Amino acid sequence: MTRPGGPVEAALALAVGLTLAGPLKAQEPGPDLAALADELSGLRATASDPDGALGAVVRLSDILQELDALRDASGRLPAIEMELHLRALEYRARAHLTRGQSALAADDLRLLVLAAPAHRLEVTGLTPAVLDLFEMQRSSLLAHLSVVTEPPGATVFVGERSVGRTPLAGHPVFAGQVRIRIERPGFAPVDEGRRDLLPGDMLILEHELERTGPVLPVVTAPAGATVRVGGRVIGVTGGELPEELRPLVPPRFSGETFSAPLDLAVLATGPNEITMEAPCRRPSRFVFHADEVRDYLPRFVRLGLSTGGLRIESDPAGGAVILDGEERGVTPLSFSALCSGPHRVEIRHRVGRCARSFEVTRGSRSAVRCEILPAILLEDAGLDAVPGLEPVLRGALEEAAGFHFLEDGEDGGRVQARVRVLLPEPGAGPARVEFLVADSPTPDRAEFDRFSPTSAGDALRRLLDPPERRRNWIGLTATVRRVVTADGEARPFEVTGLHPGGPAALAGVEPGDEVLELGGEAIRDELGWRRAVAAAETGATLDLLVRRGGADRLLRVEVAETPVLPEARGGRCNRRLVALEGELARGATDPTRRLEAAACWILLGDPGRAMRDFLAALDSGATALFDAGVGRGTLLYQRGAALAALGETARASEAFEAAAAVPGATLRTHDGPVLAPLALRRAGLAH
Amino acid sequence: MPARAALSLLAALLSSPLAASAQESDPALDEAAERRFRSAEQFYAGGRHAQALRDFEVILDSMAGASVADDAALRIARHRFEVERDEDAAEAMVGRLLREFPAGDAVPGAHLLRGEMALAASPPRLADARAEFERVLMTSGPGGSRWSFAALGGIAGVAETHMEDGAAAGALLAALHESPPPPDPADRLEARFRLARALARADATAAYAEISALRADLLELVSDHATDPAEASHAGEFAARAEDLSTLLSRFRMRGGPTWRLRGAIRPPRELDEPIRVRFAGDRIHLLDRDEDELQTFDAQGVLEGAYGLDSPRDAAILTVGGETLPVVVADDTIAVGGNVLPLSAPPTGRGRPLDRMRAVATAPEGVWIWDDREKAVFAFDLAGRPLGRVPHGPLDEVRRIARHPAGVLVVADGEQGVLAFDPRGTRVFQLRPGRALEEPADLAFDDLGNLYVLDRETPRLAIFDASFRPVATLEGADWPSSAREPVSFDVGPDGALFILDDATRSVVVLE
Repeated sequence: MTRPGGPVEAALALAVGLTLAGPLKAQEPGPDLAALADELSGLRATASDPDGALGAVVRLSDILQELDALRDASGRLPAIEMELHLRALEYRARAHLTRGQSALAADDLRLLVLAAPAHRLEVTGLTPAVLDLFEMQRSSLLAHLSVVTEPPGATVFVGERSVGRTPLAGHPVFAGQVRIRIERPGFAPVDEGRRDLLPGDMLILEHELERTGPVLPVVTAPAGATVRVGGRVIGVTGGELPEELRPLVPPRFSGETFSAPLDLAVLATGPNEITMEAPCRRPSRFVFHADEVRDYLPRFVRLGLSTGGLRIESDPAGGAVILDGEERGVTPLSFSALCSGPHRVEIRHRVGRCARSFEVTRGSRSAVRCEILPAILLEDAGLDAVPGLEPVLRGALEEAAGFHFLEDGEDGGRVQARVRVLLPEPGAGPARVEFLVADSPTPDRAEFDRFSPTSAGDALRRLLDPPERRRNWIGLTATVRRVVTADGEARPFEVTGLHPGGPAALAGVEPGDEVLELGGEAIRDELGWRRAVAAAETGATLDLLVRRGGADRLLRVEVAETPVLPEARGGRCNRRLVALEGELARGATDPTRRLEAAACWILLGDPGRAMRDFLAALDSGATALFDAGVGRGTLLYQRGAALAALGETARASEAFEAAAAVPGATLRTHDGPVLAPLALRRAGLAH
Repeated sequence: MPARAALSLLAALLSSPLAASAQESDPALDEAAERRFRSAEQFYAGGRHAQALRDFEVILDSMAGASVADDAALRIARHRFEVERDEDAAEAMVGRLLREFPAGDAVPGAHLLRGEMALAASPPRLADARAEFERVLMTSGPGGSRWSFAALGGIAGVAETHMEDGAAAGALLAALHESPPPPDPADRLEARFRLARALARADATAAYAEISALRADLLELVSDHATDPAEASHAGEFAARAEDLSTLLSRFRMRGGPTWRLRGAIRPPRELDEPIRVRFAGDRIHLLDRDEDELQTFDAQGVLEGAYGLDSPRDAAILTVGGETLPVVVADDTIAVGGNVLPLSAPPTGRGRPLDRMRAVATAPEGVWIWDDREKAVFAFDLAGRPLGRVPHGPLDEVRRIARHPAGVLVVADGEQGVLAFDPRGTRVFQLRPGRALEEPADLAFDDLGNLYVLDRETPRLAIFDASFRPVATLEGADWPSSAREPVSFDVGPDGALFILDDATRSVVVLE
């Protein structure tokens, strides 16, 4: 399709196109303005065609109606729509004239003049009849105003509307009673009062303005400085320095780009404190002594840069930096010159977010370190149903600290975790609060009393309380044995099993040793042993006193730790996964974390993710990190569980059999239950 | 073709009116049915079974579209089986449930009940039971259901019956670590104890770890519930059992095999005339005196606690029900449980008349097993005296003692054939013929690890076999206590202590 028309169409089409590419696109659906502009160009030609004029009138009337519907409450149309509206009126007038209906054409042209007194008819296809009729309407509606002042540059107001600056020549104004005012800073305003203008009149006004105070033009480099006199904001510099003033620029400022002058006409005679401020610039201040009431030469002020260095880091690194709303890069990120003053940075990482407000001081080098916290969203749904519920839940989340809170509806990044409230109809089940990691098919949940918001807070706290992940481990089992001797009955606490490669075995403990003391604590039974091990500091080396063959031996044993992989039920996997993702993103290399994450995803019902994200990563080499094959067996078992859940029975069976074949393997933890029988059972089922 | 089969199944499911009704579940109907279901549950819990059953039936028949209709069917089926002992009616209801509610959430429960019924059959249909228990798991979904724990316990039970300790341990581990926990925490403790016992036979090191952890947890429970004596006492009992098991395990793990030392002898203050049996349970010693026609009960220090009489008693055993130990004594045509005569119905097999020559008795959790010398057969009865059926075994004649392994194996001491063991299907799995190793089998016992102890009265000696009937140890000769030269009976304590009844000294010799 060929687009008819000349420069006007091109300009309008461009404007429409730009508008459509901009905010208009996001507005409520309305007429397609670009298509409308195209159509109007076609209708202009049709309007001059005697066979098509009627159709053009009908269609143009529809278009005008469509555009009228877009007027705001005060009856105004946006610029593009207004332009189209004026064109439609003009073309309809032409069509009316083509059809010989000059009265209707006159009406449209009158409307056109009323809507835009300065409207110029399009030259393309313009006929003398249209031009005459248009000028007739103008002359019946408009008068003209010319204003000359000394000095020039005064603003002319007709009514409350500024119509231009002096010298003003032949400016069209609607005939009738009009009020004209002329104002210029530093001079006394001139009020012409109400004047009666007849259509076709030309009113010419000439005034010598009376000076009222000194005027100091201020020119700044760069433009955009806020200028205050005595603390009062006078204006903001803008524009470019006029050619005629350029010779006045002091040589030391050559090369700077200065603004147009801003006339300070509120100065008092005597000293005036003038300050200028601009973003990213050092503020400037000077005192101007106005000795007399006159125009002063412009004052050139250069506002020097005010920046500081900044380094933004996040833990973990790799987060997208949004500085003052603008995406600037990825952490760690350094800025050599950042505007001094307050800033806000938000860092969005795949495992969470953080946000900081900070101030950059000129010439210094600052650093912002931000800990990425999981982004959590407290969903709105259901919160209103129980008075006081939301603050209680918020309070519980804030107590947990360690989350970056998102508001409901806030987007722009991934949500790591959600908290939601489920309130079934009374009698249809208990009220529940749920915590779930993003994408989790199975939330951690806790019930609460729907009539007690406090209980909801307690329930959420239970979900947020991260389960203890590791516990101390020495790698021996011992039990009390009853022994009857000649002296009576003895109940030695004897070592019955040693974990291969475990701390006790490495320390030289042997099966049958009687455990007497650990870390100076007398040990009599399992409970005492467990308590002593649990109370020890992880990683510490303790004295272990044992009796072997009647002789006491003092051994040194290290308190190791054992991972606590989630239980089949109630493992609070969602909460744990949020923490694990953060730990892994921070570069944690401990494969048990991956294993734990995998186990969690299997429990949550997403074995595919367990395989893809975690177990696969453990395939090579990582198993060597586990000591004594315990972790290896657990890893193989979890792999089998994931494969079984995915329906890959043959591979699952292989994994289970391999798990069962690992000597001494335990389930989940170093001191967990023996794995082999369970793995063999699963292997048999997979077959 | 599997794909076509799957499509047919899907089509059948979609076209089923039940599937449609399930999808179109009416909330009002659901609510009404659920209210009625809860009310029925309360009636049932309060013992008003008839009222509860009426409600369950109304839900099943008139509210079949409600989500609890299948649960109602399951409740009825369970009642028919557990209370009315009407297995046919129970099976009919289970069949209806599975037919009419194939996608109902009670389906795993129905399979569990079928498994339990298969176990309770005489003889038990072990393969069927295991298959049904596995179906519970398959229909429960990956997360398991409230029946998964019991099903895995059932699978473990079947495995224990077959002496498949590894499989039993696997099922118990799955129950404990991969299934929703049972409502009663005691069931979990019991499962842990069973796991320790299964492991003890399969993997002693793992068993030690399990027992240690169990004991420590129980002791913590005891201290946590110090203010709740009932709870503490319950956990304390488990802790004592775990300790006994640990001691027993240690005994058999010692280098050179198990050894015993004489702890002493208990001479009852009341003169024994013809003591024929000693039984030890719940820290009490029970002695059966044939001449005095009574069973005497002493505490561990030998203080008489009580005695009751029964004419011409022949054998005694101990029945453990709900944590209580009850002595069971048989005479020719009478059996007394806990001092009360148990009226026995005529067994449905055999000659169809009441037993009148009962010579030996063994106990099982579900009832008692009795050898009748006229019928030459072993019969099982429940604790209400109703016959459970004839226990299958090979031809026997001179039976003196019977014992039942916790896993269901029947062991018989026969004067002619020696010691024989039969699995629940009646297949002979072991025989120790009379000869040098065994002259006159007088008594039998099992310990918690499944070790079989056989008392040879003549030598005298005690031969011990492991759960697979492999010889483990023999107590004889110089190791045999000189104060027990004429042993007539013996028993094994939960920690492996031996209580030997000596006819010469009329005392119980205790070896630790």
